Amino acid sequence: MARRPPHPPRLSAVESLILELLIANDEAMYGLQLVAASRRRLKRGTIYVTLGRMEEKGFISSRQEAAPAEAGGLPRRLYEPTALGRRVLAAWTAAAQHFSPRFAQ
Amino acid sequence: MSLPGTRLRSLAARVCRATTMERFIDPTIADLQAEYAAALLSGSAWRRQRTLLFGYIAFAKVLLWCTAPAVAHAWSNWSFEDRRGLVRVVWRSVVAVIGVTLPIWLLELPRTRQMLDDNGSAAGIPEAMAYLLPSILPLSVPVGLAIGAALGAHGRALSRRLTSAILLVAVAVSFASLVTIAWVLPAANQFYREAILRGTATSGRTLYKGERELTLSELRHRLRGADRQHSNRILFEFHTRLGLAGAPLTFAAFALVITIRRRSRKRRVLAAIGVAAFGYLMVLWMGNAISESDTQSPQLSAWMPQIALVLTTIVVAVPRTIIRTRA
Repeated sequence: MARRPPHPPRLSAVESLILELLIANDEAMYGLQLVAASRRRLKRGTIYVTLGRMEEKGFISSRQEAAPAEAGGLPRRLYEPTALGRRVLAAWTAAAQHFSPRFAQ
Repeated sequence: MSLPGTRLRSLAARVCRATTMERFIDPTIADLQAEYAAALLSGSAWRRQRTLLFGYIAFAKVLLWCTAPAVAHAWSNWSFEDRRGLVRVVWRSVVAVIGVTLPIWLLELPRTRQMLDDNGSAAGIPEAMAYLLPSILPLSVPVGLAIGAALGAHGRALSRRLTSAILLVAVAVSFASLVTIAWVLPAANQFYREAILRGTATSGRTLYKGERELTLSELRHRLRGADRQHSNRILFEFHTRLGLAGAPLTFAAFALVITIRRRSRKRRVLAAIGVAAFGYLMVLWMGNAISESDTQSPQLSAWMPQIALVLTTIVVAVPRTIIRTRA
């Protein structure tokens, strides 16, 4: 039996926004920074669930902060886009522009 | 002093897997701690409290997201009897809540119609009646849940797991009740008053909110600078609402205890729940009167119905053999 071709990567609106923010920022960002930069479009209660899902898909990678956070708290997790994430966002944006010029504006 | 979230993290570590901790829980708590440290440096108590509140809400949401698959997995591992038992209790509770709410709600119809007519209001009866619904739910939901739990559990051997699950449902209902009582009910009360006066000479003016139209935080705010009698009223209202929010849990526990422990007939169990609900209201009214007369603290007066119901549940729960032995 012929094997089904794998699904092309899918990107939700929230995932697309996260990738845009991460790419726009030169340095890796942590969750709360993304929430603040999104101007309330991302919620802090669900950001890490979305980030975890994106990491599973291979769109982003994460690492722990090198230095311990201030006042001895837990080290924060920093996120940055992967090459796959960048390519998927570029393809997704191009497709969106092609099919809906209003969406791209 | 430990950092905020430290205890929550250790609790979460008991129920969550290492990958869940690493990916979701730890980053959420790290953000909370970093934000709290920044708030501490700013010196603003308000910012500190706000940071904690939003941080804990975010943590609760993350935990909910992470535990939902585990709950679904646990549910699939339950025995058929337990699953059927919980579904039975939930469905009967829903039907009972509707059955208790509807007659009380409809009893308000003539009074609302009269008020709309007397004031020549432009608002419709369905709209005004819809605003009344949240004021009935804080008591009809606990009573309905108790009836549902009693009917669902009656005549069946309940496993410990099912009993815990029913109580867990009651805790969730209590939480929903708190949200209703804290925010939905005051807003609905204010909308009701505005609807009654719509189209009249006073229409369009901002109506001064009474205690029942204030959210819990607004009640606390009004408490500052209030005279003794007024502050007693506010305190009573505040604590009554908190007590009512816990009522689903106490009523469910009471229903389970009289059903399992006493093995009474169905009619007797339902009668006992009816008496408990009536007694709850009576003690609440008494508490209100006592609080107004300034002979007892308003906090204690407001919590009296809850205390009485908990004590009754404990007395019913004690096996008869122990009572006989001691006698």
